[in-house]
Amino acid sequence: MKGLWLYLHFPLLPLEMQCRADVREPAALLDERAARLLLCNTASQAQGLEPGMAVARALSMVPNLRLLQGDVKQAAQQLEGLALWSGRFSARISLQPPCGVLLELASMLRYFRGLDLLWENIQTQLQALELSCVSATGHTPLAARVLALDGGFCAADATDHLRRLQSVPIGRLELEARQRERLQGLGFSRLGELLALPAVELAHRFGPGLTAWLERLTGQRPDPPTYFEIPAVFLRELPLAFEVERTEALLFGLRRLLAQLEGFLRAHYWRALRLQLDLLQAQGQQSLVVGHAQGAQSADTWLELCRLRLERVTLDRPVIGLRLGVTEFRELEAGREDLFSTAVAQDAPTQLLSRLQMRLGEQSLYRVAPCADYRPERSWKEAPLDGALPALPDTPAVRPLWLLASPELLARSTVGSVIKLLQGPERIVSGWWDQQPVRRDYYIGCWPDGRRGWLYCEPGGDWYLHGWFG
Amino acid sequence: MTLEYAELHCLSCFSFLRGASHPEELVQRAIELGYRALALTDECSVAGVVRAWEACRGSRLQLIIGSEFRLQDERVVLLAQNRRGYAQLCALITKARRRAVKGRYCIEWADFGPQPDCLLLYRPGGNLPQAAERGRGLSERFAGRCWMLIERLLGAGDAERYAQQQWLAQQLGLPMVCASAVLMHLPGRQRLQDVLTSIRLGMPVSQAGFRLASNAERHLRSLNKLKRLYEPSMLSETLRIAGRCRFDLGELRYEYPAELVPRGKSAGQWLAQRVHEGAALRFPDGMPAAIARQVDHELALIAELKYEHYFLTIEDIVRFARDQGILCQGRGSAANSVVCYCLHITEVDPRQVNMLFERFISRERDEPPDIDVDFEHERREEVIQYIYRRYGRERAGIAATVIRYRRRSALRDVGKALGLDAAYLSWLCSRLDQRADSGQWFEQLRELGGDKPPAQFRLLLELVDEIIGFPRHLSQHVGGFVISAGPLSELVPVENAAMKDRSLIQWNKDDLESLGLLKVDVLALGMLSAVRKTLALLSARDGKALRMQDIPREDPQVYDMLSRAQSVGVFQVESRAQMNMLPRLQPRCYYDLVIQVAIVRPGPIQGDMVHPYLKRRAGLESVSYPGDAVRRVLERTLGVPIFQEQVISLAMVAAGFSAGEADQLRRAMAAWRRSGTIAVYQQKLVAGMLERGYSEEFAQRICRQIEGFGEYGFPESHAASFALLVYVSAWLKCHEPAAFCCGLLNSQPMGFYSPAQLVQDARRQGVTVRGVDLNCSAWDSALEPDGALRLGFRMVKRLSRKAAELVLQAREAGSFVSVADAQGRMKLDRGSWDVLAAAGALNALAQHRYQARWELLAEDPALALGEARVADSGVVRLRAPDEQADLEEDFRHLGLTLGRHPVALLREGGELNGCLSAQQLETCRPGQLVRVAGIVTNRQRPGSASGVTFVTLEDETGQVNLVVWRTTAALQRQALLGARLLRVSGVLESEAGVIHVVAGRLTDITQCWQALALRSRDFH
Repeated sequence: MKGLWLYLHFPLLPLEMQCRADVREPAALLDERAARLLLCNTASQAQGLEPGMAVARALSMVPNLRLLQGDVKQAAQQLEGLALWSGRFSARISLQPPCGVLLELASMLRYFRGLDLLWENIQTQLQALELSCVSATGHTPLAARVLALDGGFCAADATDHLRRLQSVPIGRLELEARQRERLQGLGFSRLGELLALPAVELAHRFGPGLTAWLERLTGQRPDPPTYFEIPAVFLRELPLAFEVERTEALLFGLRRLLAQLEGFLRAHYWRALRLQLDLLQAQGQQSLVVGHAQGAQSADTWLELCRLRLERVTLDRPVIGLRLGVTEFRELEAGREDLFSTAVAQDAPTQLLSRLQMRLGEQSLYRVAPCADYRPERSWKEAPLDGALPALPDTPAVRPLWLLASPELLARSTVGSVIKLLQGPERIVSGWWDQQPVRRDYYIGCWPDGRRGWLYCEPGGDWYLHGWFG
Repeated sequence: MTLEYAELHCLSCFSFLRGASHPEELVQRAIELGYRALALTDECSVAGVVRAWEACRGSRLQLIIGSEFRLQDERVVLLAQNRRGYAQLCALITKARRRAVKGRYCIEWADFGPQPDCLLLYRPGGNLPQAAERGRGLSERFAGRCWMLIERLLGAGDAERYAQQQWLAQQLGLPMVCASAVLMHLPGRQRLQDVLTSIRLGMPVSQAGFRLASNAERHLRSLNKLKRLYEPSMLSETLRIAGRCRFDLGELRYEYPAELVPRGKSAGQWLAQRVHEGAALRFPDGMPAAIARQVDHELALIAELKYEHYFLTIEDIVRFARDQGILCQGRGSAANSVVCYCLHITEVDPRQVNMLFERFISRERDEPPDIDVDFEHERREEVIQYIYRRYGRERAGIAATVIRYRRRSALRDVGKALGLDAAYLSWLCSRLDQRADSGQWFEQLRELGGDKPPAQFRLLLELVDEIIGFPRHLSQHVGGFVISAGPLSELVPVENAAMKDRSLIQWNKDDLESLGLLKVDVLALGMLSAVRKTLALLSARDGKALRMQDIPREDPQVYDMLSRAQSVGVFQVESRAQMNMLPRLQPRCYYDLVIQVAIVRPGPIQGDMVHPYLKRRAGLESVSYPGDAVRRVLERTLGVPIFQEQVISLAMVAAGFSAGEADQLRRAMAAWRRSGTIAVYQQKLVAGMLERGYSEEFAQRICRQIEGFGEYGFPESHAASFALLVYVSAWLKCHEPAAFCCGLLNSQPMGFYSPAQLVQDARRQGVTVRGVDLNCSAWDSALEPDGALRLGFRMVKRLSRKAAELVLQAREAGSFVSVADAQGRMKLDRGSWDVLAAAGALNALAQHRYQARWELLAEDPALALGEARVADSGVVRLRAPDEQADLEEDFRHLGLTLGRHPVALLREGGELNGCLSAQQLETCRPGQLVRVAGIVTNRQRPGSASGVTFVTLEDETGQVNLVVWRTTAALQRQALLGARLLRVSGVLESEAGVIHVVAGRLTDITQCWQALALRSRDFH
């Protein structure tokens, strides 16, 4: 069978995942040290910025440049998301890190009734994705990739592809830098010049690697890609580049997640019945459940449902990320019975906790984790029920087991008379950095009934009870 | 009874990233609190003691010198009782520091013992049995000199610890003494101390948790508070200890190495003998009587001030350099004396310059002589290693430079500690004008926070302000050596520098000066290398040694050339600002060059002294003096103060400063940025001058000039030595352009211009330059028999010297006839062949670069293994590169081209229609609208010209100077900052032969180059 491949190249993926592709404002993604630009969006390129530029220089040229920071792990996730999305066009998808996805098309042409219609379909759906993308077909996987990196191309025949490959500049080829420089050093500027040379002369001078690469490119040597396996569960996260305080502003990011979901469902021939959408916050999260009685695949359908659901939500804290999961789905053609609803049995404690959580509300149930802070009220924090607890810091001193929720004012006259001071002072002056500084002298005191309390004195002379020793 | 107290455990900011107060602040606060004594005990260091000592002077506070050592959670404080104890302390610190890498130390318990003149305070850690054992050991070794150090910091478990330590002390029979483990002078520095801790840990304050201090008790506490915390016996013990420490830094006496003077001679006799030996060489026809009198006078002055050893030490170093053929030149106060001329420390001939020695060393001012010696930059290390060899590592060390927090580093580190985003901090930094003065800078920063700045931002502002000026670490001074008679480590601790085989002392140049210790500056100067190499080329060519002193002086052709601003490559006067000044100043003699070197500096510019001087020089303004005293100071510069020395003298004659005050003014000037004490002197200066009838306006200008000198002090004594090198290099450029250019190329990197610009300039002067060639080039660039300049292999980027040597060896058997021949005769690595071909060195053998590379690739045996050998690799004939491709490769691999200038290609290609060349501008009239284009070779926004950016464009005929005003720049920022090729429309201005284009419209035409390449390559 003749091969036909499609390569989708998303040159600005890590940047655009954090900010809309159509924004007019210049934005750039920074490297790890926040010293140089890694990627520039169209607006910033138009103003003369380019990758590799120092941040200071870039800002001196474009003062209103928005600076974004990326991370590698996220980039890999984003690419997987796109692979899920492409599930709607092909069953055979290959990840091409960092910014590309390769689709096998030959076997899909009949289903989509020809390349032209398929191409059109792809372009329309790409637009909805709001990501910069260059796409190209190729008679080999490598040809598709090379042509995508050289600006895009669409044809069905190998001859057309071979003709187009001739004009690709050597500088665009993803060869080892030294090898590319060496080729350019011989005056070669287009791929065609290279293909015209006797292969044995080339191999003799450049080693077998280059000729093998050319053979894979032209199709003289097989080059099967490694395919991406569509995962069995859908649970994806999308961090937002800025804090969102209004629910409408969440729809943009949500649309991307739902597009991925649609690809995932199509690839599996599934439809989703119930989604869980978590709005992630700096501490904690808000969770919503959205359902569809018959089940649906289409991103648009789900988007509408989510929009309706979100209208009824008030955000108590700014949202910094989204997480979308499918909690119930069924096969596209199956009847009413649900294969998956009882699939996962949960162990009892977890079940109990989830029930309690359902009853009492998520905020009411948490674990207590220690925190390295001298201020007693900040020496612990609420931690979510799942996940590992942070390592226990060396607590500096004797601390009461029972800390009052808020300190109680004591009558000045009782301290030293009714309440005997046993130990102290321990002076705590700390916390200037988050606007909740404390200046206190702590003592252990003994009450007439023998109880031992933890009390402190403030600079003004007021005394407070802060806790009880067991 | 009034309470008295001595704090015996106190760290300053010289315990880097721990102490949160300057030594001066600690001393000041201790005085305010009525402490009897203060021990400065920085961690394994005495780097801060000189400052504390200076701050103590004149007060009743006793300063004790000591040091703290940390051994896990235990602490040892050693205090020096006397001079010997101080030497023992320094030796211990040296030992601990020399064991570890730069900035760290490594100490063991066994190290405490051989310090019979030190007192030891021991503070145990948490392990009691261990502490008991340790205490017993220490109290044996330090019998009667060991104390249990009790420090109540009111942390958790403070009371128990207090009780434990008391019990332990009784068990061991150790006396107890109290202290506060001080890190700051006021509790208000806690924030900064927390920030320093976070910076040290590399995490935000909010995450540092229990690694921060729990409270602010580690400050200098009031006597009342101490009384509540400690037993009276512990408090009185502090005074007993202070009473036993009797060492004062002022006791340090510096002794020069004695071995320079032969046995049986006094230093004075020996110096006189050396001077007279030198005089015989300098004045073969006998010394003129006036000069002989001057020599006697200078020697008498040197003897009176006891500086003989200093001159002999420098003479010895210079003699070594001369024996090795290393060119050197002294400068600075005392360098331009007849004595130094005779000793060959300087080439400035007293017969040509009427310089009075006392201008530089003065009996009244009692400032130490200061001679810096510049050496060829490539060979200075030989001189440094000689000094180490001559005096031994234990007697010679390099002075430290204290690296301090400056605005940018302060903003970054404090910002990180406050948990601010790195991208946000980059943004902040980029929005601030780094050249603004500190008030403006803070104002800009404050504005960036908005009208209602968040609390974090206010913290940032306050803490950045506090941390600026805090020392960060010690680094080595560029070349200041301290050489002593005895082991240096008994004078000051020595620690390892970052560079291998270097060690530095813990004091910087100001500390040395405060203590009256003398240092010798061994500096590096690229121009000396270039001059020596040029002289060697000429000597070889003519078969006759040509030395610096053989160059004819005061040649009018040289001054003509300089007055036309033809100074590319000439020492000091080659920058754009200097080039603009040359035609206006029109130097005609050596002293004019002295002024030329000094006038384009922040001092004279900020004092508005440049224009008055030029006017008076041009005869447009009359020269007058308010009195004879002022006339004596200012006569040589037409009544306008130009040099730092003049401003100081002026303070004496016109504002009534005493000699001592004038000296303080000089020191304040050097340090005004960090101390800000200069304002006091400025007020005094203005008041004094008004009182004596000078105008307020003139007095204010002098004040601004003083600030300018603070930015970049440039005294006449240095200018005088530099001017000589200006003349010598200008003479070489004028009469021997090929050799001079060759000397410069062989001394790169140095100077203001790139090799490409130097070569272009030489070609404009008529020098023939030939490319790198496998058969003709040597490692260095060289002169060919017909006088042409042949580029050397060193110009080829990424070609090692070793590879070049292989080529030269193989070539001894005869020239190479083909690429294959060359490959057969030498084994070079692939990379070397590549760069040789890329640089065009094989063009003569293979027609062009592409073919040369193709042929080279065929012969690689590693790749040929197992492959069918291709018999005839000549089958494939590659097309030759076009001119533009050749030019690109030239730039990439040689850094310059001998072909046409890129702008010429663009002009020919029709890309620059309507643009005038640099040469054509010379025939335009001022005010004319012109359009120019060229490669951007330089962009500068000098601090002294507010808001103006200077851009230099280069085309095939020369340089075009652009002036871009602030408003123009703001509107066309992208073209201004981003373009490599720029087209500019603007108005031509011309003054005294200096042509500028005041830019209007700027267009980035960088893409024209690619466009040209595309057109020529795809459609030829």
